Amino acid sequence: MEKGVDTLIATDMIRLAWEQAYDVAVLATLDSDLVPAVQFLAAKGLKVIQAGFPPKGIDLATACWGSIDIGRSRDTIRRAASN
Amino acid sequence: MPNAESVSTAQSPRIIVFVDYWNFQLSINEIEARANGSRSPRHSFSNRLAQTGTLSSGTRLRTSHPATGKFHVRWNEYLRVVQSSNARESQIQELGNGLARSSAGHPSRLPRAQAKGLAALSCLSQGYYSLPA
Repeated sequence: MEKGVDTLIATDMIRLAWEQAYDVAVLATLDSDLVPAVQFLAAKGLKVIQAGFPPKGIDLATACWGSIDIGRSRDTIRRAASN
Repeated sequence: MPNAESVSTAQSPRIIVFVDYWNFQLSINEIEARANGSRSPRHSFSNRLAQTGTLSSGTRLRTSHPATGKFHVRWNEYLRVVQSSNARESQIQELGNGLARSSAGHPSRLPRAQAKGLAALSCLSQGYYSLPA
């Protein structure tokens, strides 16, 4: 059922970059299938930041300009959830 | 392809957020299962995958149900939110609202408040509000 989502995201990332619709992309996934798209955007000078749970998704995180460790901030998320 | 260097990133870069809910929820489930010492719940997605919901605002990826013609939001939808506001708090709120709208009516997804927390966390995380030249 989730088939093709990586392609849809990659297509949107590149299409919206082409349209100059953003300066920075935050990519919340661990899917390494997106590495080629991220590398393409990086080669064009765009910044993509991966949000995930390292060391899972390390391939994608390495390809990105930066990464956000959501796992280290789980308490922050839980505090927000309790509000 | 336009060069990104020609895009203004002076004070408030425009941020776009792509969330693969299916992939993300799967990872969260695995991490929580490991923390609890229980078996990975990966197989439990077989039921969830069948879930659909009615279209809600803020969603982008959608499919038209072949029988009813109504739009259904797929489990694996992701959300993108484009922000261009200069107001930081406003950005956080709008991002959170967008994520919350996307998860409305889908209790098996990230809870609304958790999604909002995620958006706020993403905005507050250093690295893209202080982009190097």
